[in-house]
Amino acid sequence: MNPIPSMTRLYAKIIRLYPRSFREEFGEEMQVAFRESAAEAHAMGVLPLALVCLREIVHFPASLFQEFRYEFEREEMNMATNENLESQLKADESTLYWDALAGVLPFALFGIASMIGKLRIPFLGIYADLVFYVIVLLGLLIGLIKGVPRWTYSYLGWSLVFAFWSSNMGTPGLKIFGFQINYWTWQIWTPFLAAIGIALLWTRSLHPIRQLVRGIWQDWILVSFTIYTLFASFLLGYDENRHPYLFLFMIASMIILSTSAWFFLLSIDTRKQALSLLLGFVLAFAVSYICDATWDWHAYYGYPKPPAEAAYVSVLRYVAFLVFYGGILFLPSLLDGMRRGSATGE
Amino acid sequence: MKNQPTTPLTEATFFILLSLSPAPKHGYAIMKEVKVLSKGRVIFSTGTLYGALRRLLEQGWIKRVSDPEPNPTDRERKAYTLTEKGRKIANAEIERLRSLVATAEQHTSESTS
Repeated sequence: MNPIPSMTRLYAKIIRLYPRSFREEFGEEMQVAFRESAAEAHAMGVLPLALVCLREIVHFPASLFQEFRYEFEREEMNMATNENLESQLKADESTLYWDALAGVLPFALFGIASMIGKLRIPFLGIYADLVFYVIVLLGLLIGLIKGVPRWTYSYLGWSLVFAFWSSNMGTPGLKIFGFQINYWTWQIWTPFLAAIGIALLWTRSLHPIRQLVRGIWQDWILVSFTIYTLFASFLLGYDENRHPYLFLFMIASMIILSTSAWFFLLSIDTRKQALSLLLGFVLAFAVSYICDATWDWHAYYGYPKPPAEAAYVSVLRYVAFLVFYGGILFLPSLLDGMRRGSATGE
Repeated sequence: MKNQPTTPLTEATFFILLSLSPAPKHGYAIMKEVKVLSKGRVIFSTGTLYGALRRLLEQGWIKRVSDPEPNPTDRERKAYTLTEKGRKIANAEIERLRSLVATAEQHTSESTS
């Protein structure tokens, strides 16, 4: 029995692990070279054939690493030279209303999931949260496979926020597919890592990760947008408070945050994008503040009423919060502005 | 991808260029030739060979041509040949090695006499 055809088929499967560009350029030739090399060794005996196979196996990890590293370095060079295309790319993206809608969807869904969580039905809120998590992971997966359009950063942010937020979530008595989960720790991260792993396997390359990094490198405001999802989760969460009065504020916050994300994703100009985030952040924060000021949550929780506070102290606190969190939100954008300024000598 | 200095070359690169200097060759022929030229010191696997060929192609030291050898399959097989730049670099490396050997020989003959 001639083992060479089956060995070549196996070899063809193994070289699919190489980066796509390498595989497309040399994969066929490599198979031919391997087949010829194995056939010639086989004609000399089993031991020479085993040596050929052994050499391929031993060299494979280093060769694989080398090609991925080379690919990454090449991408980095392209990243630097392709920055001039950025405005063109942005202009193309700005027309994609559907893409903007895709990016807004998690903001709206998280708001809805939060509201469902306020209903006094056991586990309904947790199921709503988990459905939300599944949706954002699917969005992340699709975004990674589709070459990381800008809306992907919304899904990335929301899935990171949700996983981080839920990594110490207690769900006593909760059963999913017959499995009882009383407490979530690292398990919540496994679907996130699985989504990334599937994207890499699907594309059979590191392309999605590279695109993700490249997108951020070309436009650091995407980091601000990703951080924005974290703040949005705070501003939409409304803690453990379950009074129906809060629904009005939750709906208002959801509309404000979703609208600002919509304008962010549609904007071409970085300043307009920053303005969208800033307005959304300031307004949603104001809504949250008004809610706190008009709703007696001390009485709701049975806490003693605090001493009255001067209006100017409240305003100062609001401004201080805005400056502090706004600073965190826009730090990447400011650094990007400085980077570009120094690059162009402005 | 850093700008690599042209010489000294790695042993693998040098033997690939040397194997291509008389005539174009396809991948497996290069593997065999390098093994012979290096007296078995440099033995490529397919992955390491094509990784090296990729870099040499991108540096413009070699280029693809139609395979001059008869092909048992229907598919057109690709072969590689030195470019002018690649030939100059191979020659420069040979000169460099020659000069090193000459210096070493002179030095050893002086110290023994």
